[in-house]
Amino acid sequence: MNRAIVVVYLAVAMAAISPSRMSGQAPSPFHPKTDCGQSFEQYRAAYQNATADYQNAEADFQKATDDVARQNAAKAQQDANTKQQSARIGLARLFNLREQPGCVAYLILAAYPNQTRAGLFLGFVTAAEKQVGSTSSTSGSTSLVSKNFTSRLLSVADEYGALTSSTSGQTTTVSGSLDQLFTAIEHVSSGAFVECAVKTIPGVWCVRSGLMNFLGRLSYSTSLDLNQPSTITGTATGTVQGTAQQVTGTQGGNSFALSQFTAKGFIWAAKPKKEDLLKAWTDSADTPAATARQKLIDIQKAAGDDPGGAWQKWLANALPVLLSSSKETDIYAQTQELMSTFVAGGTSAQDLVRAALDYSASLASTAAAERTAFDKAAWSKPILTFEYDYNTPSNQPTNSTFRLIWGQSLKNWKMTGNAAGSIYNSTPSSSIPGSGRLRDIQLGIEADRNPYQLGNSLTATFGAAYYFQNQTSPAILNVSPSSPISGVSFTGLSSTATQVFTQKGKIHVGQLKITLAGGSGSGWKFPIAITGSNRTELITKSTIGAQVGVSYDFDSLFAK
Amino acid sequence: MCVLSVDPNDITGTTFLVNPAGIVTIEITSLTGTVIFSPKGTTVTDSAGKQIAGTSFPTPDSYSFPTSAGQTYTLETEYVCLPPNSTGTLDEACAGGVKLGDIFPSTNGQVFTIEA
Repeated sequence: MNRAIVVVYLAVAMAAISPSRMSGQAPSPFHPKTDCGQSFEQYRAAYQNATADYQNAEADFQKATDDVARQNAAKAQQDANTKQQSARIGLARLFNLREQPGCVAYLILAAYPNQTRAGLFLGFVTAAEKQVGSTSSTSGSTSLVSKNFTSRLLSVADEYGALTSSTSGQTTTVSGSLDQLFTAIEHVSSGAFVECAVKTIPGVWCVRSGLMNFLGRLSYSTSLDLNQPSTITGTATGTVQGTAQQVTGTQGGNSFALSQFTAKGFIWAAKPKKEDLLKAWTDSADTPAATARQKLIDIQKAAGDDPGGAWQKWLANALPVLLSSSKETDIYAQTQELMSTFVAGGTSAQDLVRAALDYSASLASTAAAERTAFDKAAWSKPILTFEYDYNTPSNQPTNSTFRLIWGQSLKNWKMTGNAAGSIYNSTPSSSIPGSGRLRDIQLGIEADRNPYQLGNSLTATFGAAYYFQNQTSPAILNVSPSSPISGVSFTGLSSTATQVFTQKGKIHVGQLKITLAGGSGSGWKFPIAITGSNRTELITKSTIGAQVGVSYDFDSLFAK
Repeated sequence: MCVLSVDPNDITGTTFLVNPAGIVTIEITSLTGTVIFSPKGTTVTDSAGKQIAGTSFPTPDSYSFPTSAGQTYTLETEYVCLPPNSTGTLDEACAGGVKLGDIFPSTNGQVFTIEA
């Protein structure tokens, strides 16, 4: 797996850091589409406009024939001067590692393309060695490969966080949002594959943030049944030995089968408050950007960024050129001079590039963490979601469910509402009376109260739910004498029957639930529920039952 | 009341003068998305490098700190952009307050000198 990841990284690197794309062909030393590039042009334009205003005001002053005109011209000169000063400061900050480390990191990496390429390569190898987990043959591996799921790409994606997998019994569920593949790669790419907003390595690929925002609204979930029956076919290969004969066996059938696929898209969600965003960020892991940024600041300090120091002298000399020159060569010469100033301060070009690459990598990690925190906060508010389920239940015809889901918090209650329609994916047999493509219509509502605190180490959560299903077409089961349905037995069924069906009708289900739980970190829960219904899909008599459970989160033992 | 002004003698534009000395409040104005302070990385230290007392975050995008006349402080900020392409500016929190800097997604944090 190590080799595969390094190859992918190298492919990205070699394609991205091509010499032709590294040359500074734009008048701006920054990429014109970045914030740094756009601000550079804006401050230059503001300065040049202010300079023109100043000159006009100066001419007006010369021509003025009375005191009022002279005062107006003087005021205009003063205003223009203030604007010049503001633009000069704004542009100066773009070249200051204390202010805009991302902009200066871009300049450093553009100035040293060969070192950047080499540094990126070494970074990839190091990252690949650190990130790769245990192989499928290792005892205790969590990779999906060990669970019959032979897609290497998916297993890598799982390992890097591009999707989430869980296994319950013989069913493995793989789920995630569509932007997670990008953020997972971003997280380990050392800055070579990032959202365009945080791109600081010239020429590398990036993904537009708008696309990431859109993909983050779409999620999927796939359940795979890993316990599929397989058949062994024996072929006679030898002669009969008395009453015995040698055979060679071959295995047939699938090792897994799709049991459900769900696609979900957020239609609308309330904008999160800043407090929600802060909480989501505070709950997330730390990112190393501050350390990488400090390394860059130290390089500028070493180059003399105090008054009278070499770096400040460079800035004083460079600003008039950067603000006014229209020659690309003049501006390029100033950025080269900046690099020389850094190197003269005692930092080698190699270390300069290393520090800039470290900062680029830390920005990529930070951006991935920010996107996760943003999604967490954004999708925890009132939301309207559309969900599509493709169901392939065992021994039943496949069906599709289209569902609208509404979720909202009302003071201490969390409300969830569902409306759905389910159709058979193929028209049921005409021999089943009353059958049609529309299988059923579903409505559901649930209210859950936030936990009551009952003493220091006990909480109680109450919930109530109601579910209605109008079974407009009979539920159908596929039967076969050679393959009986687990848990269902039939009496008096014709040996030629291939399908059985139940009565249509309306199903009402209600549930009251209370969950007792220990205090923070205790890990145990004790749910009790009472559920009643007038009928089920298969049974036409009313049922009522109580469910009692207990669960313990063993992770809580290690979280202390 | 605005108390900050750019030090005209500093060509980098990162030194700000406080007059009169007292509480200074700065705020982030988000231009796209939402930019807030990262509380862990936003600090004010005195000339001895020691974090000063009495700082606070009145809101996730504003920060207050006390100053005393004759003292020089280092203000270090750290930002969180949610979503990551968010941008903004850092300004003094008052009508017509001075702009301390631009905040880009690649900025992460900034360092200023505050002279009271």
